[in-house]
Amino acid sequence: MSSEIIADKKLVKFKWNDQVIEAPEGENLLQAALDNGIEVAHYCYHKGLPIAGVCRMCMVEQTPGPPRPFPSCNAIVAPEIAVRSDTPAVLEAVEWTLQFHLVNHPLDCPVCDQAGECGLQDYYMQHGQYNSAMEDQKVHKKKVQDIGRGVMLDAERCILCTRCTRFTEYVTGTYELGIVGRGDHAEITVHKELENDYAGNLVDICPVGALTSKDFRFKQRVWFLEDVATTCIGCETGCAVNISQNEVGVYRVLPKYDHEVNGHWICDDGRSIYKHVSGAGRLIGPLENKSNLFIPITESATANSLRGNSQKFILSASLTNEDYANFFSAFKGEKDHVALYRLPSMGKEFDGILKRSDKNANTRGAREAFAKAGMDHSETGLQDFLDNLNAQDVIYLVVPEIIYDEDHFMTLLKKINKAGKKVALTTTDNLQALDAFDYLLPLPTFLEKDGHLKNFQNRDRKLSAGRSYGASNRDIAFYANWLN
Amino acid sequence: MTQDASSANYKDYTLLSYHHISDVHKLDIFSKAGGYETMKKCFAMGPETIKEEVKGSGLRGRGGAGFPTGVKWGFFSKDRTQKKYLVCNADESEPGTFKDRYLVEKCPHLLIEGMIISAWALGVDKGYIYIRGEFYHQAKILEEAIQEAYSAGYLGHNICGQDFKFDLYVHRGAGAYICGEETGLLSSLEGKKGQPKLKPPFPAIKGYRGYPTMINNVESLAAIPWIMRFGAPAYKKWGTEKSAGTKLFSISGDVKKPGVIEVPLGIPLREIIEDYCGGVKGGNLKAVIPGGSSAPILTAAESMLATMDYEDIAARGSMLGSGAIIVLNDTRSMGEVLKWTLEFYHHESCGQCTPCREGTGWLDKIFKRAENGHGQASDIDLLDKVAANMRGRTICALADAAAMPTQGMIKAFRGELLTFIEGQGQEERGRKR
Amino acid sequence: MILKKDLYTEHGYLKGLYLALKITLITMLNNIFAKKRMTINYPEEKYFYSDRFKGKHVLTVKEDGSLRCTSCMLCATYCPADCIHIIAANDNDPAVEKSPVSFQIELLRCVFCGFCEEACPVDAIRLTNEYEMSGHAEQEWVIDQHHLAYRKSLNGGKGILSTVDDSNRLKLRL
Repeated sequence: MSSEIIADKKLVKFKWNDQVIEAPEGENLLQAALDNGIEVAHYCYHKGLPIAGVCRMCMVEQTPGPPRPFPSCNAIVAPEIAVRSDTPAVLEAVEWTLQFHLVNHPLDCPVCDQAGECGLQDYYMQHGQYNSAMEDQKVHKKKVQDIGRGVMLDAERCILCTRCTRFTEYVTGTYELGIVGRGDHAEITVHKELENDYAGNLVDICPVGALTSKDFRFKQRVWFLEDVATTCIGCETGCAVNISQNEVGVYRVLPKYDHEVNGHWICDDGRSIYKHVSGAGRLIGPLENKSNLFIPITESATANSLRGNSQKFILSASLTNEDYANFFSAFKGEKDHVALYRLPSMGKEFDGILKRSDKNANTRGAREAFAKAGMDHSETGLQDFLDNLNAQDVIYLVVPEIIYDEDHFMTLLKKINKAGKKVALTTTDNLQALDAFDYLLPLPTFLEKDGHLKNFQNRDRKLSAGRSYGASNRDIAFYANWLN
Repeated sequence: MTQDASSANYKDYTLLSYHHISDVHKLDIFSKAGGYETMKKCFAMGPETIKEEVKGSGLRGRGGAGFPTGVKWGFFSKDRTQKKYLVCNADESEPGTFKDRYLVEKCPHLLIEGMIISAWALGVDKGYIYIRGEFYHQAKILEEAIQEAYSAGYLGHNICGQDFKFDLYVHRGAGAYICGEETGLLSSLEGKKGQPKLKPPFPAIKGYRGYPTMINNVESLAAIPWIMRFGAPAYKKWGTEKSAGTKLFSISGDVKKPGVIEVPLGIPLREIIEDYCGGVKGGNLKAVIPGGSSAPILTAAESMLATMDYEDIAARGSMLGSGAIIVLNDTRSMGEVLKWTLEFYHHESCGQCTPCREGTGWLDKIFKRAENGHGQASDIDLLDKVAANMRGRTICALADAAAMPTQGMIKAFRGELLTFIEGQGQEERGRKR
Repeated sequence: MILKKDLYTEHGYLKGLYLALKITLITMLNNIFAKKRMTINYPEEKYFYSDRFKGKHVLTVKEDGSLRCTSCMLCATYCPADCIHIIAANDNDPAVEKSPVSFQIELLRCVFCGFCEEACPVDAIRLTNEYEMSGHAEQEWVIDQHHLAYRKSLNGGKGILSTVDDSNRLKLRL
């Protein structure tokens, strides 16, 4: 691939402008600069994709080296070279190459979602700011194309950096995207709808608004959003993500580069894990089921009606390590009064890129915590637990935040029907199945609490709390012993 | 054919030595005239001897770049067990060039002999002749000649009893100028879109399918048999010190006898036009394009002083290129010439890298707008600036090939271009009334 | 009345008073009798401000009557009073792509600075010379796009036309 850091190459020193940089010998020159915090204009280069060298923006001059500016993405680090990105020749090359990019680019900024994080806008402010000499008719290409998997293609905005074609060629191996035509009539297009599970990444890698997210389309301007660095709870991989939100709501999930777990990408399932956080139905307090209508009720009133019976818990396998630890230290009931519900496996055990079949975010953390507390976390344990339910029990069920298989969940609900009182510990009431419960008590979503999850590599993956959109002050540990 | 057959001594020709013999595209006729003898002698010489001879001859790449062939061969790996390729660039898409076609049509065996000798010297066992798609008949002639060579035991295994095998294939292009660029050619040969690759790595290190590949022009390879037969000093006797040997020039345009001629490098351009081509036709000389449409144009005055070697033409701000001479008389409009040039490069840009893709389109549009009567004087400066900023910043030299003639035309005929733009404008305004 | 010392020492009190008040008296008499006063009898007589006046906002319309606004949200970003709220949506016309499904201005927050007019890249929002905006405290002070574009005072409900768009900008010089 392009620029994996070659572990056994020796580090050498070289100069970039007036800065001395140390990097492995033979490493990609542009990557070495970017790793050291130097800003170099580039569009087609991406660390996770093979080198294309087509945008011609990353120009530098090097001594000793070629006689004129050349792209740094096609060069390597050598000892004692002096690289300059601030000479007049380089600056003129960058300005004119940018001008060539903009010659046929449509003036779509008001309607384009990329505004605020657009490569053309950013470099124009840094390296452009010229009076455009282009007075002719621009080339027109096909706009507003829905190419599947939630991706919109606008061929006119495309700067033909080929990041997307390289992605479908080398990362997913599905080859949906390609370039047809020649010269300035060349156009990015698909020969069939996108059908891979990582199409959302195409939107991220596109430096301009040619590939945009249908889900995010027109919802918000990116400068009104703030990012929270957290972890995806879609499966046991635990990819690092940045989730964009503001006081109005949560808008999108973007991958965060993580060398050990997910690299540059996340799967498409992870793109929709935010919807329940600020969506309709977030609980702001306890709710009581009165003939299938949920009415707000106070905590104390709920507590009063539940007191006196044996409190039994079914926990989900997507809570944080801290949640489990705090729960078990607070829980004072019998050992067989707690069980673990795990969402069923779905799909291939590992799809070869990122997705895994275990859809529980913290299976390992849950099992470890259960074992430490001497509780039974097995599937048979859960079945025994369900068989032993009777009318004297109050059953608290932690409703998983994301349920892929509703049938499996419904089976569980049928089995807890024989309990006397059924309480759902849930983040939202937006689920039909919740009509079976007598009370709904609020829990914070994964985006409203700090904590850690153990992923498939047994690494601790961090959850960070962002804004709160519902009742998020009561965690599972609170309910462990709240009636006493 | 313009060469005056009666006065010529065909021993003086290196490339067209056999062209006066009818049916010399057949192997038996070619052999009877002395063909393939040099090849047989070369098997006795070591590969290094052959390479030294070629280097000593000063032969420069005849496709347009003019890079010394012997030096290029020197970059090639000497390992004879490694998988390597030899590719002959018969794409010949540079407007105005038709010399390779003439060579291949009349005497394909000369090229094949040259390739076999080169393959022996370079340690290559597979060769491709990439011929432009439009040369349908020429490709057929080549394929038949190759078949004859196989039958004669000059291709395939154990050539002439030597422990040497060489397989040669003809691969037809599909009509793209960019496939004449060496890495564009390799991409097309690999079955992909004819888009040039980043250099470095150079094809001699990493070429066809990632293996070391030597790419030479038809004329360069066809010169090898003569060099090996008569030796490097004999070749160096022709031409100038830095531009050794003879060259095929394709002359077209306003001359009485257009065609392909072989003359020593360094010959005055005036001699070519007046003596070999019978002089300018239909008017007085106005301008000459010396090396294909990518070469900046020379005014009549410059043309009368120019000598056809790499150095002199370069010193005049143009390039010898492929040796395609286009002669223009004073009835020709330079505006029209520029228009067709810009349209050609706009059409042929592969679209991979931004300065060329957008720049060629922009140049064409500016001039089309001027041609339609909506141009203004400042458009000339705009053309010049856009062209200047396309150069040196792209993956291959197509951008330079588009920019240089634009800048050359502006430098040589600015006044006429201005008049052209204003005239078109008047015409347009007249039409509107 | 306190007069400047030299006025009454030189002319005496009453004359000094007259001199000091001369200009005021002449103006007053002019206003009453020669009708030269600045004040007008509003609401019977109304003052029409120039086009540069920063009054109530208008959302301009295109030739087909639809809103010029593409909901780029630059006005909402630039507004120092944070009083513009826009919800964007897909527009059925593919050439337009984006248009506001809801465009609201909180009139009581607005400081009428005109930044939104400056920020708009397509001349979609302007501040007109309408200054009559009084109302009751209990009423709705948030105006929506229907009021902003199609109220009666704008060409009888047809809206103010704006002709700034890309195709015009790139027209050849003919």
